[in-house]
Amino acid sequence: MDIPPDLLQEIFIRLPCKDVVVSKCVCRSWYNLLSHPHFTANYTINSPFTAVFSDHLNPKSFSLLQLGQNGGLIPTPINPKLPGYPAEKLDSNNSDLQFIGTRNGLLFLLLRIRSRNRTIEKIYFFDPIFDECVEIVENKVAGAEFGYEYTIGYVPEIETYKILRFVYDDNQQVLRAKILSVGVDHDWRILEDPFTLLFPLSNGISFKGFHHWVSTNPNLDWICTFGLLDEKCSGIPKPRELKQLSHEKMNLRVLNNDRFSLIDVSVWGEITIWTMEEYGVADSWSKNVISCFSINGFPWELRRSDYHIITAFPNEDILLSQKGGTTFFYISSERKQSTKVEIPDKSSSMTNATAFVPRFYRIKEDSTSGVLH
Amino acid sequence: MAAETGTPTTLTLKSNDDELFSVAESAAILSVTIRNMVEDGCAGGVIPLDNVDGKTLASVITYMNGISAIPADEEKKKSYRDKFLSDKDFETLADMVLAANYLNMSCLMDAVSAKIAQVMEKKSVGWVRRKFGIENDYTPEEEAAVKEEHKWTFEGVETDDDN
Repeated sequence: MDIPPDLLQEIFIRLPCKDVVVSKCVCRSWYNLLSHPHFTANYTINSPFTAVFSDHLNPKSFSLLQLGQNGGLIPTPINPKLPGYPAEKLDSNNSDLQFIGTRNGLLFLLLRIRSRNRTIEKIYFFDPIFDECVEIVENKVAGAEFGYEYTIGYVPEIETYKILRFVYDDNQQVLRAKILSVGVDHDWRILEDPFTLLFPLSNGISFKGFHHWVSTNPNLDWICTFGLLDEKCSGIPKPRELKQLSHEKMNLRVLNNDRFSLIDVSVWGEITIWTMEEYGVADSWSKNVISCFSINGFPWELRRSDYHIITAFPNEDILLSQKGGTTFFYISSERKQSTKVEIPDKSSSMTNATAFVPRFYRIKEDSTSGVLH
Repeated sequence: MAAETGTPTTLTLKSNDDELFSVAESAAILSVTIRNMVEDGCAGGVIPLDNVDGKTLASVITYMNGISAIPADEEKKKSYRDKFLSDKDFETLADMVLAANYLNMSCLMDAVSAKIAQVMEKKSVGWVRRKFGIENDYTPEEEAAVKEEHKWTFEGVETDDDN
């Protein structure tokens, strides 16, 4: 039997990523087909749901979750091999591992090891498809911090990843911040004037060389940005029609065809997709409202105050969850269908999830920045 | 078209091994390839389908009749497709992908591709090679290198019986 490559692609884009990788080992022509950037691009658009779940209290609990063709959930455990810290050496009493971002098929991991008077933090870049894990930088914390946050972005102009770490107080005002250009700086640099930064959340996204996030301060009229190249804070206007921004009910995404969008579930019974047709131009926001009544199996049992967006996918699909719950709801905007996602291992409360775009080929960016390979 | 006249129009399809099949035009035009022929007025006599054998065509026609009898209800159509494909073996599925592509039937194409993907889930490299009839053209060194590149996918998986 001879199935031509374009028909094979139709099959491959529907496979969970582990089976894509198995298929690469079948023969040379399949390897070439699946290693081509076109395939990854195709997979990204068509494979509806790939998310990474983790429970930061259990460093061994990472899995990729994908929706199988029969509607069931396919968990693939992934075990990042941290150089110097094999999984069996990690003690969940004094260490935790969490993911703090994803980009270019990489997952950014943060390991925290606590001892009596200090905490050591290590940042790793992890490629789950090629199973490579590299330590990027370390940070030592002596004394108490109310809160801290990491943000990692990629700056296309200089082909470099930048890691930002900031510390905030109980008013969520940023006290200090430092930054590191991966492969360029040998040590952290103190970021001048970080105080205009407001507590960004890990649901931010990078787009056009800026990191964007919705602030926890509901009175802000703009979406916060941090210019990764010039290392300065700024903002872009929210849709005028939108009364208030909410970091829990809204999620920023770059949707297909490179459209900067805000996915909004703040109105009960509606999913609104705001799109900035012309990036940075206030008047160019347009909206598309999807009524939840049109969605088959919409989880009406979620109390309106309790649910929030875990993540949104590039194809406008979203993942909702009840606060503190282990049940997620995957909502396909195109198929108008809601699927209940039960976490396979109920004993560990999965506390974090993010949309992940796997990449089945190696890229120059990894090696130019000295990150992997 | 057919529905307006009262008497349903019937088409005759011919497989590449010269089997003849009668099928209602309203069902057959699920195939864009056939619909174009009908619209161009070239469907008067027998429609030869040079890339589909009799066994596969019989299956496809069962599908055409089954799915076109279901009113516009995407849920019911989906469950019909699931049931229709549930007892098909791998070879039949592969033949149907080729037929669905040739006949330009996107709903069948999507369903069969999804079904094949579902069958391939968690299978070994050896299984995939056997089912797709693919010869391993890697040198032993190359294959070892490719598997090394993605070692994690083979951890805890039983080795293929033909390796």
